[in-house]
Amino acid sequence: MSLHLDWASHKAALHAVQNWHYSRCMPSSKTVKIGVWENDRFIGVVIFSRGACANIGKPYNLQQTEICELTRIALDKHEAPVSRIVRIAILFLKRSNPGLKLIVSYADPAQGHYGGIYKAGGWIYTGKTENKPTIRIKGRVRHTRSVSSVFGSSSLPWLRKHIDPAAEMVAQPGKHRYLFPLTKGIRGKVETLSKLYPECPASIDGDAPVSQTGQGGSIPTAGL
Amino acid sequence: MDTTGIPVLDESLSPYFYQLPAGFNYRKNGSEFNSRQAVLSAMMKVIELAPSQLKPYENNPRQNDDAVGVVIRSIKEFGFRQPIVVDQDYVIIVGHTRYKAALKMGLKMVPVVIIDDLDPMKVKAYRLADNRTHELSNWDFPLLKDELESLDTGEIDLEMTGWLQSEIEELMTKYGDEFEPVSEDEQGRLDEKSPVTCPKCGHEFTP
Repeated sequence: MSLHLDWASHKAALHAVQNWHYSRCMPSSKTVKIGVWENDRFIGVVIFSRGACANIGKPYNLQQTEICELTRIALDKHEAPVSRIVRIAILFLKRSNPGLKLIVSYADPAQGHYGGIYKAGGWIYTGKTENKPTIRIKGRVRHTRSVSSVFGSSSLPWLRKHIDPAAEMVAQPGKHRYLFPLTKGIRGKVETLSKLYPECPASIDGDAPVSQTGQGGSIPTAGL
Repeated sequence: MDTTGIPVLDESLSPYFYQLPAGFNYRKNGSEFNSRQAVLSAMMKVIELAPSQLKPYENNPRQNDDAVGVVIRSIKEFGFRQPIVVDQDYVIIVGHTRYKAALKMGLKMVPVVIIDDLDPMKVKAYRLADNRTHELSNWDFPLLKDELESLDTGEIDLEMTGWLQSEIEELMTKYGDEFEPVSEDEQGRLDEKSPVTCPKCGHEFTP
């Protein structure tokens, strides 16, 4: 298997997120898009973008230009481990954006993600974010900011009147937050925030154990 | 063992036919054959019958009307390559869609193989198994896309393959490998902010 990462076009990244990422959409801010090719076939993209809010670096005393967010890992079927793909993508990011000091990423438990790939990649886990206000509108749960961006307002009465009479607020649990320091200086600072990795949630209808210590997050099927 | 000293294998062993070594005679329906080819020819003898002589199985649970059009096109383009398999009473075991296609096309004769060495229960099971085994197969979509692309020379209609144009387009889009690496210049810079110029007053500032 040959693995190749390189810069990806917006069109390629859009194709990847629309087909292989649960969000089905590109991040709205400025992005760095690293494409992934396996055996010469385009199989997806890793996208870094400017933080969703201007204060994203504040807890770490960083400017907005010193921190970015890993916002999409959109991959089709692949052979290489995701943690390896992300590690290479980070090398691309560092090379093209030498001023960055920290990457933050989130794993959404609502999507069944707890951050196994970040654990495998040695990211620093710093706990869960606060609960975020979300709205179910037209059958899809969106962050209020996304609702504002798409529909022009996140006011529930306005949305019910003009967009979807069934629009409703939905309680959304916080996301697991992971940090990847790009410099030694910032590593020393954020390591003090480190917490134990969250446990892999058991499959609702499967027999997967809650904790798979030393198993790399999955248990291979026994040979027949 | 027959009178010539050559061991004879009974027809009950027919499922294992392909695994048997040479040097045996085979007995089937009271006849003996001295080569695998001879047995095979007897087992797989293709005859011609008029579609009107064939009887669709009345409890066929497979709904195949939507596939008849594709099969007609296939027969027209590629010929009638797979015989219809029937039992001794000419009741169809495998090939209901080909049978319907033949009727619609007004074919006078169709190739048929008669199975006479399975009991009625096994015939029933085989009828289901033949359809089910097709369902259990999966597509390797990237490979399928490559195959369709290799056919896309303009010489044949791709819908001959049974895939609709809309499905082919979706495959080409989803598994398209037209995405090539681009220049680093197409990426944004996250470690610096570009100045913005106000479209109204022309004032330049960094947000």
